Amino acid sequence: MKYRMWSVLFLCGAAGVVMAATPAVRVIKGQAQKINIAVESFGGDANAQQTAAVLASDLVRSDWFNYVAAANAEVIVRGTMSGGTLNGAVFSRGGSTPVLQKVCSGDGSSPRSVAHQMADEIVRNIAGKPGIAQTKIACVANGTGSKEIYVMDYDGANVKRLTNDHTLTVRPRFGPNRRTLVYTSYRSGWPDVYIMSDIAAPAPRRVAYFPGLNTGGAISPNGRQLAVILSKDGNPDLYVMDLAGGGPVRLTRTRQAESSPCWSPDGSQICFVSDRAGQPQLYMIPASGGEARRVTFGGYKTEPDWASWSVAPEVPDICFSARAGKQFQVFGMKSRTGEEMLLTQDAADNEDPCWAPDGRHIVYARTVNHRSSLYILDAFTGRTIELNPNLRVLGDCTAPAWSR
Amino acid sequence: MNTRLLTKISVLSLAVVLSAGMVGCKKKTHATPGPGPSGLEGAGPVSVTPPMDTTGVMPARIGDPTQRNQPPRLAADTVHFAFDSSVVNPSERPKLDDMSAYMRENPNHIITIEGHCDERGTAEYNRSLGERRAQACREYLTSVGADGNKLQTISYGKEKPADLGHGEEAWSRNRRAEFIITGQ
Repeated sequence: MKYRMWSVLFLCGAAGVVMAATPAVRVIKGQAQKINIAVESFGGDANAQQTAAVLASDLVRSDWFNYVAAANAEVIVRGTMSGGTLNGAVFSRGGSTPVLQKVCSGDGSSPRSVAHQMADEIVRNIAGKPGIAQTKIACVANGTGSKEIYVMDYDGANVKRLTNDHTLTVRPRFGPNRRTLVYTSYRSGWPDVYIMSDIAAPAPRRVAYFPGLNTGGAISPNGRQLAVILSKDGNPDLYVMDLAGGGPVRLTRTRQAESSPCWSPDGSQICFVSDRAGQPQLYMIPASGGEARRVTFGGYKTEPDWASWSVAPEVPDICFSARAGKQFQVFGMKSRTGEEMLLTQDAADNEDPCWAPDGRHIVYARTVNHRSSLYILDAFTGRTIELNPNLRVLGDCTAPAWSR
Repeated sequence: MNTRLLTKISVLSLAVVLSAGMVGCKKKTHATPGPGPSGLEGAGPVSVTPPMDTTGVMPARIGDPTQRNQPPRLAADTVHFAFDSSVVNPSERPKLDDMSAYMRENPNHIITIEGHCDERGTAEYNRSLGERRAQACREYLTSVGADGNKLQTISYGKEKPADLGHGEEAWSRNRRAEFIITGQ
């Protein structure tokens, strides 16, 4: 077996790589503490029971709660629906005074939107964590015969097609709010970067259309800058553009391929992929320019995403996909220590991971027998579920993005 | 023991051949002044990131790359690549030399080089790798005298395989750069 190690060392040495010890890879299997919760049947109008059911589903999807019978609950939710408004209240077991009271009446006031609002209030106030019930997921699907971008609620409901470009429309990423989306489309014939400032009223604006490749757009946390891959100067490199105007500032100068930038939550760093050392690896560079620092070693590692919120020290804050054996799996890395962890481990290609704003859940594309669908991973427990089997009518769903 | 030693030696020589190949390649594309023609002296320090020149700057876009117009001669010049590599192999250079001759014979033609990848790996990294492959062809062509202002690139990554199969045979056909005429 020794010669294998030699061959790895020599081949990498030839490509000019400084080998570092390969970080230990392990699967997180910790069981996070959950709160036992019950939702009693809601009183009020005809939408009452649907609202209660959506709320219960949201609480389970948050993974901070176990849904149990009222007799076993530590916390009980009661509510009344009337005229599209939910009067919700949360009680601790045996308590007669609510620990949380909330009137929810959203725009349009569908039963789903008021349930999502109530769920986020409960997650924030009872579990003390950011909720995700009002977030959106975007993805690419090919069911029309072209690749188009779709957006849906975080639980896979309310699917809507955002583009009608009849070509390749790919790599959606949300901006710092839940409305702005950046993506790449070949609708001009060339790969260009577009921004929709409000997905509720899609009006794409083309923001990068230089000669050659324009892709990988990622909006900075303050919403003012765009990290983007351009090849206008003769090679795919990382650039930063001011969205208010002005030319792109070049951050990398290599003869190799750069791709897939994402921002640190404070906006000071950009994590991206480069194959300058042979195979694709993750690098970090100050967003204002400077030296790129390699942060992963060995293997084939791509598509980083940096969580906007870090849920706990034992949970990684950067996710990426990497080859593990013959397949691709979702990995995590702690940005502070560089420690890598294997997060999925099944007989599939698990790629293109993207964090939810709770820093706990990851959406990714799972491919088996060349068919792809979206899955959700709980990075605390390693548990994975298909986002929504109904999405298969869209065709292959890939390249998911979770709103911040 | 003996076989192990032999393996080590063969791996070693492979590494030497590879690094020599890389040095040779760098010299070719960047015309770095270097030691004599044997090339092996290049085992000395090699600049990992050669200084950028400005010849790589791309011309303004011309034509519609989706209107495929690929005469048989250009189709025959499709350049193939090794896995995860954008290095133009010596075996592929005659095709680029033919492309360069075609451009001399048709000096007004605008050529778009399409870069493509096989299906393995993520879409975005492959989009950059495909662009890199197209750019590597463009660099070679300009190094042998072609007019860079007549050469533009587009990458489709792994989105447009030439062969829809899923084995190494299909993959090797899909790792490619194709040449189309998008203007004159």
